Amino acid sequence: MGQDPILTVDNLNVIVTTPYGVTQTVHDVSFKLEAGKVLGLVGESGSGKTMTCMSLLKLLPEKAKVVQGSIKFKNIDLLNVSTEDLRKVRGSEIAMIMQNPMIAFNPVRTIGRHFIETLRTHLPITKRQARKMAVEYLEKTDLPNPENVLKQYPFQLSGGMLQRVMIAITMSLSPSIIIADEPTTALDSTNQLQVLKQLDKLREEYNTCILLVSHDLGVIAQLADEVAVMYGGYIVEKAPVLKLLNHPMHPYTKVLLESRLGLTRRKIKVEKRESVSRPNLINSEKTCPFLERCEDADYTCSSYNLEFKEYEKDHLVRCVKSR
Amino acid sequence: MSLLELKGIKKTYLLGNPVFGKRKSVEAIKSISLTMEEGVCLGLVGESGSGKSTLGKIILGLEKPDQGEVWFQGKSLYCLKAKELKELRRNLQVVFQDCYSAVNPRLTVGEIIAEPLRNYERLTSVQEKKKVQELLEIVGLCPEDIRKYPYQFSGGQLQRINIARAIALKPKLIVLDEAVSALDVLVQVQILNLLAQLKEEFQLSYLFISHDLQAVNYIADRLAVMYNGEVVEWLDDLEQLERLKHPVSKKLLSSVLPLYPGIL
Repeated sequence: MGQDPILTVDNLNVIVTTPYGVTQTVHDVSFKLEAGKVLGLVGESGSGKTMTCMSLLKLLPEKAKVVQGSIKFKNIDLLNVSTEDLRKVRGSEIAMIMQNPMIAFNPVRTIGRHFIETLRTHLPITKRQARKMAVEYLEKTDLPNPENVLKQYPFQLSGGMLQRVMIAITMSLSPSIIIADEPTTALDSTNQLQVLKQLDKLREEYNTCILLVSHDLGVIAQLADEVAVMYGGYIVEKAPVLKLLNHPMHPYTKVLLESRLGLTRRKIKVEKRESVSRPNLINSEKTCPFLERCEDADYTCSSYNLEFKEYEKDHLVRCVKSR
Repeated sequence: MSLLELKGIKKTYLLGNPVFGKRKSVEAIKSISLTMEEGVCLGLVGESGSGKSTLGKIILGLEKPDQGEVWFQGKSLYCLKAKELKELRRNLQVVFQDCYSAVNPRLTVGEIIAEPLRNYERLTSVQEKKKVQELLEIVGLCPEDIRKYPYQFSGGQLQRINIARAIALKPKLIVLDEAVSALDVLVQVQILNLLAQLKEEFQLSYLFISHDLQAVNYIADRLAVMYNGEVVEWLDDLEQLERLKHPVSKKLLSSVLPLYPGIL
């Protein structure tokens, strides 16, 4: 703490135009990233995690738009930056690790071409130097036989290997921020552990800050320093990782923690039906997104204006019940 | 008589195009024998590429093994006439990992669930509709969903539809090939609870294929660990997971992330 944050997101609001009307997918999201720290973003599908990540690099789909808020990277205002300047930031300063490595690579180009292209776009080096660098970084991610990997096509590698290649590419440009959007969801559990170890190494060696997105609190707990829980487009709870695990305050966080399978054979009670996450139209009143599923909800909830409440220092909760 | 019996199953795949010289071969399954009793959920875990899914396909009769026999309900699956095989197959159903590609996007939910019924049972359209609505209720969806199309559902809901289709004919064995792996943590628990409840209700048996030891541990009665086309370890009592000895099983066990930091 104490140092200046590298990335500051303030009051971010994103809307999406759908055939049924305009919906808001990100509500008043604010967070800071500091060097060498990992912020975990947890939430179920449709909670706005990916939309938040995408808006950081202006990668939102056409129908989505940032309507309010600011994103400051060092001293650059990312929302009002020219395309030219944004290109310099993308990749070399803020890099992204995608969820599905199988789709993120171009299937008709070799790994080597991907790697060399990326390096040469950002650095003034020759092909041969780039190739040497590529081998060096692939070795760091413990991929066997890196020379050979460079010659192979994406479909010849497994998902876990591809994800490690992706990490190697991001590492090679030593960005100050890595956005890892569900980096381990598409992988099996043994690969998941290895990818997490790589990310941890990255953070330690290069002092990179990571925005780690996942729906699995187990993944987040291993790596993150601070956790933000998202639900229905809102950050409903934000706290340092141990505080969140030991004293979850928001009812949704509690549900998430209880539904971890783990290795005990106890039966977990959850609602039998899934809630249908309806898009909340923009004109609808501002109510707690978790209201319908909440077990503790009562009359006080309907008049709640969704202000953040400070439960303890650094521990913010968006629930009327917390005090 | 056990429900399912595999004897010395072996399966090799050939890779590459025969035009470009000799083809490489991959031994997906080296030699597997196993028996499954009725009403049991057998968990099959292993890393990706260990042959779990191939074994599932062989049991379903979708891939022919190079060697060995599959006995289901006392009949050998690969020595039957087409007509007998069809009759046997109504007791064998499957739920896949990718719920979106497992359904035809142009059919309504009603048609998707009715497909097995149309293949095996002669029902009038009124009976069929009633039956489909019943099935939707059983898996926790609304009867009104019958007219909707797959894209109108979330992954978890669509997986429920896949399950409804699988139980439509009251089968004996359902192969669940990574059925919950693509779902969110909360939805995973919901689907697993549903599967456990259906198993009791309809006396089903499951072959639960997964890479996730947590999910298998939650639902399975017995456990088989696969590696490189072989079953390397059996565990009959899942209360004693710590008894797993084989290095592969240990690796899987240690890759389960605890809720608290400290594994890295």
